[in-house]
Amino acid sequence: MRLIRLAWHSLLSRRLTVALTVFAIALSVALFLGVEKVRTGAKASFADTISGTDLIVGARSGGVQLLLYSVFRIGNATNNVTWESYEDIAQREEVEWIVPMSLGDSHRGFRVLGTTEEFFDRYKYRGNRDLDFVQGAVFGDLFDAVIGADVAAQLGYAIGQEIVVAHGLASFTEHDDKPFVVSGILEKTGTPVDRTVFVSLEAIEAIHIDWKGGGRSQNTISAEEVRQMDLQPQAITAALVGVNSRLQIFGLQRWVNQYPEEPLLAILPGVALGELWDIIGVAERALMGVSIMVVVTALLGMVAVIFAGLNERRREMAILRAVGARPWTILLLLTTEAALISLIAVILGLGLLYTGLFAARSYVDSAFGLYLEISVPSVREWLVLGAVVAAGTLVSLGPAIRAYRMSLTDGMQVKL
Amino acid sequence: MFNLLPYASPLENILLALAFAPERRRRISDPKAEALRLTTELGLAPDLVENARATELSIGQQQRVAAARALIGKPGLVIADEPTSALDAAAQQAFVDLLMRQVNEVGATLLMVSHDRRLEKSFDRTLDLSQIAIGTQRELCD
Repeated sequence: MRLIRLAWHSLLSRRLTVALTVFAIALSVALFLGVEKVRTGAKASFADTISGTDLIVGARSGGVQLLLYSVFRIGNATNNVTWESYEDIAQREEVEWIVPMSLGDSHRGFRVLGTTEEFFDRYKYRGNRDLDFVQGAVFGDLFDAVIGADVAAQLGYAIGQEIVVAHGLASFTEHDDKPFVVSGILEKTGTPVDRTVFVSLEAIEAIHIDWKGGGRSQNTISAEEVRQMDLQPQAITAALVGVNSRLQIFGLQRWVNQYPEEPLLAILPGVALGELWDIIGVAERALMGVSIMVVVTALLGMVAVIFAGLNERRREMAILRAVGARPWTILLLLTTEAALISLIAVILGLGLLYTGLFAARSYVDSAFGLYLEISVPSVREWLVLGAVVAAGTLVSLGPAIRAYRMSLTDGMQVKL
Repeated sequence: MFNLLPYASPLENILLALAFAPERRRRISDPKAEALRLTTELGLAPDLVENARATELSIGQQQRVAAARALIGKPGLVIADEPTSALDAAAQQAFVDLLMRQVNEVGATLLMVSHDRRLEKSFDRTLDLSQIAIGTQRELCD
């Protein structure tokens, strides 16, 4: 106890260097925990990109690929799902709801998704949160479009804006004969929904009705004429499926995968998201590696400070020896000091982290769609904090052993 | 600097001597009161002893604190190496008298080295080290 008091007073007498050291370690700890928070937050946000959907059905390819194009709008479908197959699945008794999705067109770099109004009720993210409209509502007219928050923000669109959908993803041919009108703008979700232009499934059919192959055919059909026609699509790209009972998921998945009429693939979004995260999680691990390095650097800085202080503290050591302190007491004193420094730094680091979280949280959520949870540190984080204190104490053994040797050779006499 | 820890108060410096000497600690029941008693006897105000920082004391005051640190816990032997070197003649005699009184009270032996012959009369035995031939030192010890 007396040793801790002594170490404390000694630290106080060198408060400037000590404070800087403490601050450096505290910052590194806060950074490390912050990265940890962002990491888990990103992972959770990622895993919560889509929820409430039990199966995603598409043409047979890879699970990750299907997830990429159906949910993340990255890459393309290898094939379509015929409307007959879609109907067959929809009529299965396990199926509670099914939402078709038709992809392939774009608007100024943003993917266009043809779907039904039900999409906005069925698509959930971040633990069953609904898609909400900031302005407007779902399609009222055939040529109405709903846009995500990023689309609205980046292109500066408001309700009533007329937009033209381009054919394909990077094409110069546009469906300019059948322009759409923005009818609704969705709230920021932090999911690919933000970067999507939604139109009705029939509208996708309508804009392609006078197209053959990759180009426009000779006999064009005007926007007015098309309204009178049957706009039942021939094929869709993928479908989101909800089942009545969770127990039926695997049965339905097997049925879809063994569907004899057409090669289809049904995936569980959670499983595919996990697979995908394993692929992109490398960056996450790199980030963690960097922040570990920062902590190590800060601890090394502390050792350097203790080493540098040793010489000017020789007299202090000698006095302690003179009043009867044993050399190992000196060693203990220095390690106690380091332990105190690390402990205070860790506490300060926690404080910095939570202040930062409170300050930046709503901004991060709205700007990056990253939800940072403010919670009591997890067991893992406590372990990390404990490890920092332990490591700080351990590395201080270097200077402490040197002080031990010095106090043996110097004894009570200080040769300066 | 008279070998006091600069960051601790005089009181803490005095009590530090007990931290590493359990024998001396056992001889007193209330270390703080004892330290203050000693320093008061040595002519230091309790307020100064408790609250000042060692660096704020004058050399003479530091010497007294060092003396109190040596005397606390009734040690059997007090060894002082020129404890009055930083004091003027009048203060020197006063300090030695003070030290004597305390040592008597504690019942300790005082072994002191000094260059000042005027202090000689206060001591029971004195030895002039310069008068001793190297070879006779062994004899003396016997």
